[in-house]
Amino acid sequence: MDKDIIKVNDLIVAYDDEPAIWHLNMALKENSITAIVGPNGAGKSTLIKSIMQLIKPVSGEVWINGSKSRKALKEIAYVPQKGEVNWDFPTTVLDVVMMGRYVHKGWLKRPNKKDREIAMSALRVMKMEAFRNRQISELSGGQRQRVFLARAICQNAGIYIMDEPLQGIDITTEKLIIKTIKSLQQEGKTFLIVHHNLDTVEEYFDHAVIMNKSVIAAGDIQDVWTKENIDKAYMEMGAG
Amino acid sequence: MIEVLIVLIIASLATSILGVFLVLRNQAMTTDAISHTILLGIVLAFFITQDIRSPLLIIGAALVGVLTVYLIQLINQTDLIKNDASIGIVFTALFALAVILISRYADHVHLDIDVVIAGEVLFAPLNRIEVFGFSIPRALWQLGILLIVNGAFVALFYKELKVSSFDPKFAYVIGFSTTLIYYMLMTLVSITAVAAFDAVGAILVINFFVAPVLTAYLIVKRLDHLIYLTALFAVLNSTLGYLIGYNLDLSMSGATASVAFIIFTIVFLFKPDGYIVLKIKKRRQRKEFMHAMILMLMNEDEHETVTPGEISRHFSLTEPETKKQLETLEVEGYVTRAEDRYRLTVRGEEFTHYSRIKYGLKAH
Amino acid sequence: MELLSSYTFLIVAIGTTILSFAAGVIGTVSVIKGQSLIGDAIGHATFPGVILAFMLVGVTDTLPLTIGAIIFGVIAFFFIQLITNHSKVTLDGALALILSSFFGFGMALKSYVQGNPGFSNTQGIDDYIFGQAAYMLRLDVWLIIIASVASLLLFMIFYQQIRIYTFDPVYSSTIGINPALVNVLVLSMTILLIAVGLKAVGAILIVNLLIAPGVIGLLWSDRFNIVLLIAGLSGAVSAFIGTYISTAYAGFATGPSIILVMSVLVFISMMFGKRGLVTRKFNLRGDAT
Repeated sequence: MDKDIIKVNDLIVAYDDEPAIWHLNMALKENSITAIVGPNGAGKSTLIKSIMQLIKPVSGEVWINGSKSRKALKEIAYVPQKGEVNWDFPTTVLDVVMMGRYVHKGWLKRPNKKDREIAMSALRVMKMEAFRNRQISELSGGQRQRVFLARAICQNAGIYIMDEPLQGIDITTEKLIIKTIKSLQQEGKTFLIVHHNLDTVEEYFDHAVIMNKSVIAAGDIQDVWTKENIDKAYMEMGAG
Repeated sequence: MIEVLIVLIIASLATSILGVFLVLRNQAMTTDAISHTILLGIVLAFFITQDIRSPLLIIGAALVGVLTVYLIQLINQTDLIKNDASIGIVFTALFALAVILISRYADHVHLDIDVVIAGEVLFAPLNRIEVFGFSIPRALWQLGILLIVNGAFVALFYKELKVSSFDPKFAYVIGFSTTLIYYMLMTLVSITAVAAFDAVGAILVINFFVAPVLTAYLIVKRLDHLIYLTALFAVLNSTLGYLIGYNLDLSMSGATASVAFIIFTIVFLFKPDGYIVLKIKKRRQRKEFMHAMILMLMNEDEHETVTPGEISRHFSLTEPETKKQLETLEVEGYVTRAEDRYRLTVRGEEFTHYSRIKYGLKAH
Repeated sequence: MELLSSYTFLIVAIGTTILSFAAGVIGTVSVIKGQSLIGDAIGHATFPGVILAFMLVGVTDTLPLTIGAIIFGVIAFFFIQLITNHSKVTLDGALALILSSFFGFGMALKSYVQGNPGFSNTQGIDDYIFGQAAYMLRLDVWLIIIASVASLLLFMIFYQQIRIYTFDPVYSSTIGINPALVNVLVLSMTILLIAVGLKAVGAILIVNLLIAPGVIGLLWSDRFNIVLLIAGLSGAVSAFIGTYISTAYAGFATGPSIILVMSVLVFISMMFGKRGLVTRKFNLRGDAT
């Protein structure tokens, strides 16, 4: 757990003239389950999007596995927020999960039997096997989240980046997702997860990044998860 | 000729006052549907009356207009087809039916689809009616009455229209029948569309319903202001359209619709918080932000003096850009230069202090 | 049956069938995205382009008129994007505005052309408003075939990108797809098909070819590839039958006939499709027993 698999150096991101991230430095430890915690408007989603190169920063750099190129992004599986998806799209659960395989295929190649098997086993992990031919619009919120995690598993990436995966889902799914994440950790995967519920941080995560535009505290959960740090992040800046 | 202008103005006022609520309810494209399908109503009514001048034609057309709205709603309620797709399917089907009925069974009468779509307001004064001993164009009489009816409708149900346009759920909760209001509105829309399109053509009817409202909507927020300003733009569009059409000998309806778009675009681009002003503002803000960031960087201990090369690397700026930024900062007295290294002045340091407060960043 | 081998019929039928197949496939994307009426606005907005092109070349020649239509389709789309992205005007309002203003501009230009003795042979222009498939020339049909085949090929090549982008734009960009590029691709194909199809079905009704097939497909299947196939086929079948009716019976214009056939298919699909109203009733009864 000593290698830094993602490094963010002195990152500044701004929307027009509004700085969303300010001189942010952080490192994601390999094989960790790291929470990103902070108040609304702290730039959590912006940080993720900058790592995924969906936003161009004003300054600073992001290193993934020691590389700055777009190709390094193949090492990352991204689990979106629910609202970003067109739920009327005519497609089945299995089909969505198979989309995870396209990263490994040339664009013109069709998925083969092996891809199907990988997708099916990912569905099995998420206990969604029986739903494989369901249309996605018929799924509940929790089931949708399971499907997206299954798609990420299919990508067979080393790093999982998730934007509030536990928001608005049932408790069974929450437990299942956490269980899956922990067992994937055993296989050597790394997780960076935007998390909302402060009560469960200690239970679910082993590392945390507490941020508000820049990093307040980061590191091992035992060291950083203190009342002082949390207060610092959630209190208004500028007064001090 | 002045009668033509009056017909245009009255038609634009009668339509656009209802248009306000159509735009607020995101029902603008429904007017597109209605304006096309009333052709079917006219054809069907013509089959019954066999008289192209019969007032029944107007009633038939309005009925089909309401039927169109009802059909679209009915399809939406089945949840099988998306709202916008059902509008597109319903109006094309009914319009196609009308075109075939005309060419198959009514080819011998004067029901020129081209005129229906394009309209010819110049002919409006030819069809006259006696009212209280005065001879006035029939279109003017009809549209005048509709203007009064529509105005009265908006005045009487102002509160209901307002609430059900902005917050239909709330309207439902506090006990308004949003459906009733909706169908009353759409019935008036259909009748007005029919009366107006007889005078100005289907395309200009759509334009009258939406263009003045959208232009006003760019400027004001309050509903009552929106209504007044809409009326103003309706009169402006019609008058300019009339003048241009008259002087250049162009289709009055076509000219008015074109003018409406030009006026919308002018307002869109040049209003105080319009596209151009915002673009300029954004550019200035971005420049100021870049200044602030360069200064704040130099405020850090490890960057107390910097070379242009360091700046351009740090912010991924091109060399000319960096040079321009630093020159401005030097002229304004925020930095001083010694050889090719820059450092903050006292003024520059103060500036970074205020920047941090402005951008909500913690003190260094 | 003699009709089926007549030259005019074949020319027109080949053109409308291929066009409707391609429009059905490509229009499905907009239907799923809830943007089907963009096609309506662009269809109407091509009209001034056609007239301006006519004013420039002086004859109703297919090629320049089609190019004029494409240019104005692009301009219309540009304005729709500009207005919706930079003001509080919604897509619904912007479409109605662009549709009526551009078409109105076309009407003004047309009245100028018709009132000006410098231009002759202006009758052909109306074909672009209402469609006049019977007057389609071989060149018109070739244009339709080239545009349709090119669009379908592009669609097949970028099938996965289009599919993933339509379903999940953010995810698509994380796996290296450029969403803006895919969007432009789909819209260019749409505008191209509208432009070459004007003479066959006209500016007012062409949107139906882009919407109805996709709607039919979505009513029968919940797999994207099958939806596309059904959409393409129902477009093609409607076009063929519609063209046959219009050739066999007097007074049935081609565009409207195709659309009436298509509407019948939509109605049948709404009743008997996968979640159709009648199907639903039967399923309910089945569940109860």
